[in-house]
Amino acid sequence: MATPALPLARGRNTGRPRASMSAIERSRRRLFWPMLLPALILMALFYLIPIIYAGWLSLNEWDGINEMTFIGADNYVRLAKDPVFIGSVINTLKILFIVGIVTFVFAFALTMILRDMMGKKFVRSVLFFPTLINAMVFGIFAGFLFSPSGPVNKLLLLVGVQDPPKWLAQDNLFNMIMIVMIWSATGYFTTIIMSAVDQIPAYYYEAAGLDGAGPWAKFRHVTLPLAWDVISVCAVLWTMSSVKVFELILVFGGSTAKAPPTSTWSTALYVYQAAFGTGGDREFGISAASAIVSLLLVTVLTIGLRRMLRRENIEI
Amino acid sequence: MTHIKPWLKVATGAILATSVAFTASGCTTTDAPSGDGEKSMTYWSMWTETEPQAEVLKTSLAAFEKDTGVKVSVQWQGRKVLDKVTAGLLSGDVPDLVDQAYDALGTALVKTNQLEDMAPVLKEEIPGEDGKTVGDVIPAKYIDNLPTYDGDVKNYMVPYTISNVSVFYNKANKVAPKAPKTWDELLANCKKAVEADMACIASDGDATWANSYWFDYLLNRNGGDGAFKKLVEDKTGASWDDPAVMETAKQIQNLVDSGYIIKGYDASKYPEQQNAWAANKALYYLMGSWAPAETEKYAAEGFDYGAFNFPTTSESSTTADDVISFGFAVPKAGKHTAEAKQFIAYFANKDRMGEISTVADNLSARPDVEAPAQLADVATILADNPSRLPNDGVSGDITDKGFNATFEQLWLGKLTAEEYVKEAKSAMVAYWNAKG
Repeated sequence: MATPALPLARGRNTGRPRASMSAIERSRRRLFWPMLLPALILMALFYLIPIIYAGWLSLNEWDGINEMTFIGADNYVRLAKDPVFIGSVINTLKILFIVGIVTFVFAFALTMILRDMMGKKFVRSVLFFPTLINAMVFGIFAGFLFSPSGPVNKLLLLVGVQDPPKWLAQDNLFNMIMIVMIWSATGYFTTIIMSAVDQIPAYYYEAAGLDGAGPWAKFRHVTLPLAWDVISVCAVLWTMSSVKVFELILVFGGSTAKAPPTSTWSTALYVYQAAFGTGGDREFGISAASAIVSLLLVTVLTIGLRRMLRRENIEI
Repeated sequence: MTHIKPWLKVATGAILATSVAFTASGCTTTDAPSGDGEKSMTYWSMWTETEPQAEVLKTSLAAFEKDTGVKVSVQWQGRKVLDKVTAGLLSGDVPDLVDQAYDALGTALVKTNQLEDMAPVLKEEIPGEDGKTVGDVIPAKYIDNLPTYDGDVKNYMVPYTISNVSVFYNKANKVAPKAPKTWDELLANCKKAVEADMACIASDGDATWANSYWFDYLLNRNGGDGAFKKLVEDKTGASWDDPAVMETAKQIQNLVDSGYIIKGYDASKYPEQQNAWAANKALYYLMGSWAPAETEKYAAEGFDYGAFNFPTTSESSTTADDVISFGFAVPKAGKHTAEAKQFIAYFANKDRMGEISTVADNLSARPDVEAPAQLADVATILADNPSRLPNDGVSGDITDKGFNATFEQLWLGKLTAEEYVKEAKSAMVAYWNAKG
């Protein structure tokens, strides 16, 4: 997890022991491995070993039961030739960038409004609420809300819209999925960013106000720079979660245990379909290869994002 | 600042280490104990415990225990049962008896050669039926056309309940009470329905798996048995140039263009329009024989469930109907396969398998058992016509990843027949190209 290192711990535990070390530091040093080891073992057990195994699996053909056959990079070649996989990668990037950018624009706008608002605590709770609801609930309810004779269209009819949009048409399906994602993610990131904004002393805003700054200038010159670290962590969190989007698409696009249309697949869904898909083909090799490609994608994007957003710490 | 005592550090380390050890060794499973010399078997079911089918099986399992002394341990796993079996095969935790539809068994266990041959079971006598064998009472046509999925075993399943796909309608409707036999008759009825301000065909745009039954059946009628399989398994795409394919695509386009499919179908989520059909908003609904059970609570008053076999398109058309059989299979890796097979023969008894019809309202695999009233027509269709498999039994992700996306465009009216054939051909070639 990309959290900033605590100043006290920085550089302490990796250097050689020094004669001038205090008793507290020595005891800290002794506790270093006992405290770290459990997490390290769990990490290795549940993350590193599975990733290495997936890497190995991706070079094989395996149905989950019989012997594996080593086929080298064939699975990757198949993925590169598969229009469905390429579509899945494009969809994942759409989720990452389009949903991400819109979510953050909304979150910033809400931050600007919420800072001076009355009853902001209540509003924040309301905004956070969608995060608490399982994405699958949206998936199921959308079918009811947006159906041709559903409540949304009935409401539109009342206000005079005779020919309402075909919300659940296949062409709109992915857009609808993205809208639901924006709706549920905005509250989450607004809450995190707001907690950083709360730490900014009010006199910065007062001083900016005296200098004639409007809400936008205050946001641009006070909020943004002083909440930057938290925003960049949020960006990384979003990158990682967007690559894992799965259940919403499965429920939104799928009908009774059947696969959603391929035009809505994300890479995570592709991984699932290859291994446990409705067709019943258990292609664990292809599944692992697509998982590895997703992992590389998120790694490259996260590193890129971290570099882009990196800057010197600002003391408040 | 408090000083941390050495014993506290040691204790903390020990607690953490123990917690890790516990986490790491948390999930071990043990087999159900079976007493010495006591006969036993395990059954993992595709039904969940509260379903009526489970009730039927429970009754027979209890009777089986009593009559034979074989102790049965059951796990009501539900439809994902074969995922558990696949995982169990790796850890050696395998049931002696499982059940599922032929296609689910096929891709999970038949293809990988994990199932016992059931041919000897078909020759077993059914307890309480005076020498009748399992093969005597279950029609061969339900077993003979099961695909082998390139596995070694042909008879890997003994069916006990049958579904089929046919066109359902309300027999009490005033618009077109007579079931059509030919495609032209169906179209004529559609015209009547539209004139009576009623849709002809119910369909949910997102249920491509169901909408493609229209294409599959039409192609079967136009191009003969095996035409769908040939079409989608042709890696070169040449089969798409067959005139029967174009004819089929044109027939679908005609349904769309004539406005015979229910309004709003292109933006609805299954089962919305299915329920609309039961509420008399559309005349016909091409669906599996589970449709009556699923729509019962939405049905209009006086709705009288009827079904007819998919119409023929020419005089030489086949009348084969889609049969989906569900049945028992025995994994080779099971420890008590003999007992499992013994139960299969035991359950084939008319009274026991008959409860599939009387208690669970499904069709039993025995034609001599009376069908539930709502499925009486389906039973007749099954008895009178040769059997085929939906989509000619093609397996795997051919439909999900290859066929469906373009068919959806045709069904939703976004492609003309000509455009469809062209695009579907290139989509299937791309699918096979990626398959390697």
